[in-house]
Amino acid sequence: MAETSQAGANPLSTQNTLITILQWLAVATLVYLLISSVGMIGAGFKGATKGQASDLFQFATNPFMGLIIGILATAMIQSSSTVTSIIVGLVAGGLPVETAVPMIMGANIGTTITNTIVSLGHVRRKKEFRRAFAAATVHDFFNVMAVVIFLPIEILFHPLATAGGYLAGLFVGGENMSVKGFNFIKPATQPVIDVFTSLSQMISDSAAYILLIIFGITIIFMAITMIGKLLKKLMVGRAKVIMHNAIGKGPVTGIFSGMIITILVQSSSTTTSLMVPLAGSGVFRLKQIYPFTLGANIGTTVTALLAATAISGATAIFALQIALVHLIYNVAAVLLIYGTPILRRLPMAGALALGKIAAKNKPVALFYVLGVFFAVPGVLIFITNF
Amino acid sequence: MAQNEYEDISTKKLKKLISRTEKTLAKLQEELEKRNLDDQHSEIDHLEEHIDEAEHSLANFVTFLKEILADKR
Repeated sequence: MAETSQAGANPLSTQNTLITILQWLAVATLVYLLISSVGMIGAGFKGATKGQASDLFQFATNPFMGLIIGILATAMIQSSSTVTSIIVGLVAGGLPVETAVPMIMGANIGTTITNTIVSLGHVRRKKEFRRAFAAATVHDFFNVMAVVIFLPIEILFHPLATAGGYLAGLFVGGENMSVKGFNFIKPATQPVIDVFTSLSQMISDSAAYILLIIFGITIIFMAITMIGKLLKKLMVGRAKVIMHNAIGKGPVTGIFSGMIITILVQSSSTTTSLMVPLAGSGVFRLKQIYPFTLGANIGTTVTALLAATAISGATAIFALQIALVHLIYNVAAVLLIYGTPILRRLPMAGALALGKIAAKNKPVALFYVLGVFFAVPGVLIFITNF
Repeated sequence: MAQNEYEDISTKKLKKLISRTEKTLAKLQEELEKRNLDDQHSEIDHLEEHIDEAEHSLANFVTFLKEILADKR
């Protein structure tokens, strides 16, 4: 009897192991493609603008325009990792870091749309919807508040760009001017870049660089989406263990847990969206959910850092600088806002109030989503251009 | 009027009663906290379902629109 069950269980276990190995190989391949595609965007952008990238992005030199571009782009594709990786590629292609910083901040706001939409699914049960919507929008309030505090300071004194530049200087160097210890990446990714460059030239010689950028953006989007899907399956067990261990502990553990889970699944939207049903059920309170979402903000910066390792040459330092700005900004925002009791309470107060209003009057939630993520940025673009 | 309920009880007995009540309250709070933590652990055990739910953001949006339209009718 025992023999039969053993004989029956082993092939299944071997099959599962094989599937897991294949899934990890797929993740590794996708990460390789992701890194290669960032290099593609950099090369394409550099070629298309002939070194005059700052002229092309002249319209975004207004920081508010950069911020709005970041919000809209991220809200539309629902992935801050994709947008920040593209920004890293653009900086590698010559986009000035000062122009890119507000875009990174905008990506932070834009990404919060995903968990807000997830919370809308709880609409049929009033109390549950109130709690879920508050849990989702606490992330929005926090990220908007971070921009309100940090963007004016950055415009006036550039502390984030300066700190990012200083740290990038420590990490970038060597003969190839690449991230130290990652000098092998350029030769490793060059074959993929060459294949797509040739393909672009075959399609249209005059628009080859533009096509290379389009290929790069498409591959980044697809790679990050598929990595996210695979890692969700592969890491759900680990995420459970982390969350079980975080229960009953303080907010610092919550922040670290949120950060680690986001690094594991490579998506802040996944982490923050997971919190919505947990809060909706009433089992977790908003106060407990809040630190997890802040950890997600920090954890998501790993993707841009990974993307920056793809860049070598003169612009490698700027690519790493913007990726580090993303990290420093999110860490600084958590330290300042969550570290200051008065500021810490504001996103929770705003989210609770909005949750109550939206539960009483459901269309408010719809106007909120359309307004914050599309209408207000659209109107601001219109105003800025006149 | 409720305060008269304890008028005939000696101070010693009253102190004893307070102490016993405090102990019971602490035990009740402990039990409540334990139940809350158990509920949280049990919710985490359903993480796969929550991940699935998070993946269907478009479906959530459609559900929401349907609900708003239903309310309007």
